[in-house]
Amino acid sequence: MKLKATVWIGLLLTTIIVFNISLLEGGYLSIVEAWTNGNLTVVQEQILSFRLSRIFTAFLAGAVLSMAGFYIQALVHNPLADPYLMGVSSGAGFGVTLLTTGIIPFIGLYSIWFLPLIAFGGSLASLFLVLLLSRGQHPFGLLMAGIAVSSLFTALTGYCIYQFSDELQLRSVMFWTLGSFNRSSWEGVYTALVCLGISLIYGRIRSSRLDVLSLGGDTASGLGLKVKTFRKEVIWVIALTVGATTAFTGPIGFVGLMIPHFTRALLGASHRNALPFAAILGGTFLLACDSLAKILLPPAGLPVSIITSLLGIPFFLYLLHKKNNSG
Amino acid sequence: MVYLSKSTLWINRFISTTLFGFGVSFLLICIGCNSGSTNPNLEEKIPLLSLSLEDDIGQKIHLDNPPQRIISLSPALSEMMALLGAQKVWVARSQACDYPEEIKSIPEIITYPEMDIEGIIAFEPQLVLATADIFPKDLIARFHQVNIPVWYAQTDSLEDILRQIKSLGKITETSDRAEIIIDSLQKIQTQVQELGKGQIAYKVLLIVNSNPIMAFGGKSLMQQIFTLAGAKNIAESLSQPFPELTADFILQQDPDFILIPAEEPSQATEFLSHYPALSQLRAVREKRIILVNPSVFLRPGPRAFTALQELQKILHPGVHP
Repeated sequence: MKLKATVWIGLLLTTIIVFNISLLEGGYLSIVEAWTNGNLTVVQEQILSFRLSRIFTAFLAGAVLSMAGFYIQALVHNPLADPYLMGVSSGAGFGVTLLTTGIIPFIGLYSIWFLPLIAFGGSLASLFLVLLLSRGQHPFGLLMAGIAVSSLFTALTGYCIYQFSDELQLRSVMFWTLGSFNRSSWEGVYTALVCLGISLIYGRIRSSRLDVLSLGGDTASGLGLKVKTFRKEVIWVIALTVGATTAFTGPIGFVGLMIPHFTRALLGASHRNALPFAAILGGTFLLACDSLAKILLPPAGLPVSIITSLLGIPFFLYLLHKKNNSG
Repeated sequence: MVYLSKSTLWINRFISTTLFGFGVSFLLICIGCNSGSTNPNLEEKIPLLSLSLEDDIGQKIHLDNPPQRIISLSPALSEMMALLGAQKVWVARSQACDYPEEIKSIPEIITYPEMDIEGIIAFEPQLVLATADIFPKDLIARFHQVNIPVWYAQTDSLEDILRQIKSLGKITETSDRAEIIIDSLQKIQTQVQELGKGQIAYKVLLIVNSNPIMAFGGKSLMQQIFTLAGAKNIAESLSQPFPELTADFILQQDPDFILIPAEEPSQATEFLSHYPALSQLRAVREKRIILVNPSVFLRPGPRAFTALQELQKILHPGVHP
């Protein structure tokens, strides 16, 4: 219990430090000082608003992706799973492309929710397709189906771009696929906040079932869990939260792979304890990655997915090596 | 939305060359050793007058005759060809070469989103003209595989443009005309420099792309144009050719003028509606959002001198007679 408290305090302190670095990085001290003294000019207020929306988007996206990582690893009973590897992002990307290229006309009335909704539709379609293709198969079959479906949606996205887009739309889609927080907006923050809320509540009420599911489909059935129905339910949650969040940020890989591992190593496998911790850890991690991206290439920053992939791929290989060695 | 001129798009390069490689490899298998053949009729008609050229990347090109079949894939070089009146030896242009209007009668080749390599070979070109703003260098090697030399231009300054006009004059045997053009362009530059003496350097943002916002960096042709016209590029401290900017960066820099390369005024309104916070900028409050002709301001061709002149007129309207 004492160890757990130490870990939590350590995480919260790190979060505060990373938040401050993200806020002050790039010569923002005077603006933050004006903010704390309550004499911000209108322009400074706008500058600060941009910075804060970026910080919150990064943090919330990290939290949502980490939790989705937990869910997906429980779903396929495989520690190598990641929402990114399961085609969720490419489904969302296809949805975003349909909107960007004007194949689906943008409905102004619901504009704030329209983009995440379409991306969610794409994610849901891709995840159900994965489930359909891998019906009754080994979890590895599910991962393979994820790769196939991911390729399918990438191909469809490519087709739409080539057939229907102009160069400006092509660039928008291309920059989206790199994954970045530079285009953060408060709409994105609100969407991600709703997604995180859904994810946290779901994790809370279904934590024991998730624990059972992560033992593997057969064991879970043996313990009385309606595996098929429950898996569908988990898929809806993953597709909704990841699809809607990545609609604003673009795909960001490996956060959902790494964070659940670190969390399990620190707190154990129980979802009830681990999920909120993973959310904060993932948020802090992605916020730190974004600050690093901005420091490396000011002012807009490198696409954050480059940083997460550079960190995530060695980790993935390490896991793969460990898994092979352990038989 | 602000449109980047079709010719100046780096993604265009990426797309057109990635898959283009497959096309060339396949063609090589099909064409085999036939690719070395020359057109015997041309050799009979034209007296032998060999031509040695060096392009902007130091490539030495040796031609037995001045080329009689030239293809220009670059809008900037096509503008130079048109100024030189080189239509006689100009057999095809890329679809992006759209200025001046009269060159539209020259047959078109598709280079975007995919390069029509078969179409290019079918024209039996003796020289292909390309520029670094659209095509990466590996394009040269691909054309070499089918024995077509590529004259490759890279433009980082106004001087580069003048040098290119001189070289194209030599290639198309229009050197006299080239000298006249160079002279008149140099006069524009001198006039701008003289008129600009002692003028304030206004802070300017020229938007290259609206989503994400991109501008010209400090090491670019446009940077030179800014400096000569009496403007301070707000992105000059950034070293990439087209750095991505954030709205907060622009707010901090607070430019005096925002130039938007666009045809329709609605595009400026649309740009601002995407970034409502930018309405706090001095340039917006004082109505200094100026629409500029995209192909004049974004194309590294002879009209870069027009851009220089226009920019000075925008910033310092009083100095012009």
